Amino acid sequence: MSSRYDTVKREFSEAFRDMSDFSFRELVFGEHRIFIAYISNFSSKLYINKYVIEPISHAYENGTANFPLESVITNVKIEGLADFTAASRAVLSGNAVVFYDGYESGYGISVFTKNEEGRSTSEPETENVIRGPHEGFTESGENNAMLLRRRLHTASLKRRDMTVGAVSQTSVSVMYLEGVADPSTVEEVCRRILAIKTDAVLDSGYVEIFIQDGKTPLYPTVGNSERPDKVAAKLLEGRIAVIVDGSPVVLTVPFLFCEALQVTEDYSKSPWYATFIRIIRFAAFLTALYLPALFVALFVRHRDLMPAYLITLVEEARHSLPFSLFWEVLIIFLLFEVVREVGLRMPKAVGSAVGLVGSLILGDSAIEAGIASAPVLIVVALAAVCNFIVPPYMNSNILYRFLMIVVSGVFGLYGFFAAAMLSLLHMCMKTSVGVPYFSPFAPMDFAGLKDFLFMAPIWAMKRVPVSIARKEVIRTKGEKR
Amino acid sequence: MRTHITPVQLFFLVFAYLLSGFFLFNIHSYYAVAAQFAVFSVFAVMASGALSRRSTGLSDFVSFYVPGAAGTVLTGAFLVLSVFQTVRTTVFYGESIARYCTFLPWWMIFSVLLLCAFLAVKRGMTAVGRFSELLPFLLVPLLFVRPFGDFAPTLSLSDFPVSGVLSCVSCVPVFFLASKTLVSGDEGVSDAMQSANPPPVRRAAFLLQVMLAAAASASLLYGFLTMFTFRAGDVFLSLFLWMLHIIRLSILVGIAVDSVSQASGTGVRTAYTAVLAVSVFAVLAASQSMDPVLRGRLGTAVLAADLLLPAACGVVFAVRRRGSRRGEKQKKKSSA
Repeated sequence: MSSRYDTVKREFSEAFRDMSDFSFRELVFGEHRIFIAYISNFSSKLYINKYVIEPISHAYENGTANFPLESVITNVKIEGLADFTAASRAVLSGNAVVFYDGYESGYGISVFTKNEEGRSTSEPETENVIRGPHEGFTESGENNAMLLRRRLHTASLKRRDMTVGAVSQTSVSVMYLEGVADPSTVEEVCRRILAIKTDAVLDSGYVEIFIQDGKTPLYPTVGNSERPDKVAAKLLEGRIAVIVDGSPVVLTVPFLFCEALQVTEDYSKSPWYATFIRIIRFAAFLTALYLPALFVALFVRHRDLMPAYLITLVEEARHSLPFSLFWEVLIIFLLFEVVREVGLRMPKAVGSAVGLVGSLILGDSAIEAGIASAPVLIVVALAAVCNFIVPPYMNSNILYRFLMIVVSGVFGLYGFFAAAMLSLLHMCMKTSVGVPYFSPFAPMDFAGLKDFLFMAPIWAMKRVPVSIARKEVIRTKGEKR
Repeated sequence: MRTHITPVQLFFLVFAYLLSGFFLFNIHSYYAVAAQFAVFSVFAVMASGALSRRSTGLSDFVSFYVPGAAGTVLTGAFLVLSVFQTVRTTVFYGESIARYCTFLPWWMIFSVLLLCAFLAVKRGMTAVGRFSELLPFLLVPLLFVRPFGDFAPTLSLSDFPVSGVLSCVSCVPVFFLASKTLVSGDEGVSDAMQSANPPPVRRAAFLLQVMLAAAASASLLYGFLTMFTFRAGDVFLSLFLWMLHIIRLSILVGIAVDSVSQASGTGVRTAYTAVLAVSVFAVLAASQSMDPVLRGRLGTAVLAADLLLPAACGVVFAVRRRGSRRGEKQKKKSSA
């Protein structure tokens, strides 16, 4: 009897004590003892039986069993374990660790037996399309990487794996297209991921907070999507995808302002219609941001600038109201956010009903009771509805709009203009992993402008945006030398 | 901090600088607009000599013409000129704001200037250049909305105000912006910038072309925008104009900040700072309490200096060049 076998077995038992799901299967083949350590359900029992126990017992019965066992185990992914840290990490990652008598150096073999059962691919709820693939990412990082590989059949699609989170030990993969993505950007993204110091990464949102530019940016500098086709298109433009195991949302960097206006379906439509709808989206975005603030600035501080009939209209609607117009806008704005939040947090079946009751019945009753006026409700509701047209900026817009209303109410048009200019200047200086946030229009990049407000046909988009790839890349030919 | 702008940004910065001036100083004659364009063109041509080589700012630009201590002093003189423009712009900008906001204290108006200074220090001309590239987004809707106003042209053909000439153009921003522009092939140009800006055959001609195109666009657009008025107080136009004014102020403050930060040696840096501070107070005091006739004369003197200083630079350069050629000829003779 080898004493090393007992020592290793004891080490495992000690490290995984008080873990009822930790399983320890010991087999005896003649003079040889073998133990298999794994975590129930996290490792697939079927895989362990099929790829570990069955081949060994067959080999033993046929007399072909020879040690070391690496050549007997039929699983494609096996790895020798040098120390106990690697061995315990393998077990905690869902692999089975096989150790046997006579294994004098190292801590056995790690066999890939991770139970990959999970949600099957389904259509993402947040990014619906009428025309286009209806497939979405899932919670499995491996599956998500596979979904991207299924779309880009090239050896240039590179993948780097990392582990983050001291306790969670979450797998994070960085995927990019070699020759298109800027190598320095890839290095920077990897550096930021490796620099993450936290106990657990439970969702891609955690990684996003660590790798974004600036400590607490109001507007996001890291993009995300649940659609493999969208992420594949971004990879083709030189962006980098960050896949976090356990999250169906894949991050993409650099993330630029213009991306919020682009929708996957645009590329399946006529460029004329896509251009039209993008201009509508942009106008709605501006309406969501500035309409209530401009309304407050003009009607509170600069009535002389407004036509008389508009002033009369608003005044008549508000003649018996207890609040000033500024406070009325603020209160309705906050009430709308409350109704929206309630609608989101309630169970699906009730949520939509609550939203309807909140917005329609409450709004109507408030006007009838003389607590709110129709013009203010229209302005606030229009801005709120327009906000849904650019989902990546939805949350940021709410805060920004609130600030704009306050500044405009206090300082009038001067405050409105000053705040708008200040925020624009700030955004001009903002970068996402070194790429200017307002690119391709500030600084201007003519290749990138073909896919901004005015959308050129796909055949005309011959070059990858220079601001992202940081070199001239012709789509059909690769990097121009 | 050494920052640069692209030729596209040069276009928009020049465009904003001129158009802001037209509106700020309320130019109401076609002749005055044409005169401003002509003066700008003269400055741009003067600058083109130095545009043929790379320079990194105003001081570098001046030292190309007048090297050594004289160049350092001359840069100081140019800075005083830019201060005059900055103060005038601030005063007019303040007045334009006061028309809208009677309830605002003066410090709030000056806080915008401070903000410009802060941004200029923080990111140099890069941020201002990018900001100027957003102008088309405000301009395009304005061009569509404007013709729906009442047709009431404010520019006249009969009026020729002498005071209108040179009121909004100064040589310093022209030289400064041109010297800050990088084109493909310049040292220090990133791959991205290299690709975005195709190499011009002749650098100076290319930049001159860009500046003249910008100036012409600004002049034509001013004519178009002043043709119509809106009863609703032109909120869109105001937003556009305030953006132009902020860009103009940023350029002017950027000149001062950049020249001080790039000055070689602590002594020169301190001297520039002192010159700037004294000039600001002097021009402010003069504009507040001076007799209108005297103020007009001061304005004329500054404007004359605006024309004479670049001319002096050109003369010094020509003399130096002639001297060096003579020296070369003599050397050749003596060696022969």
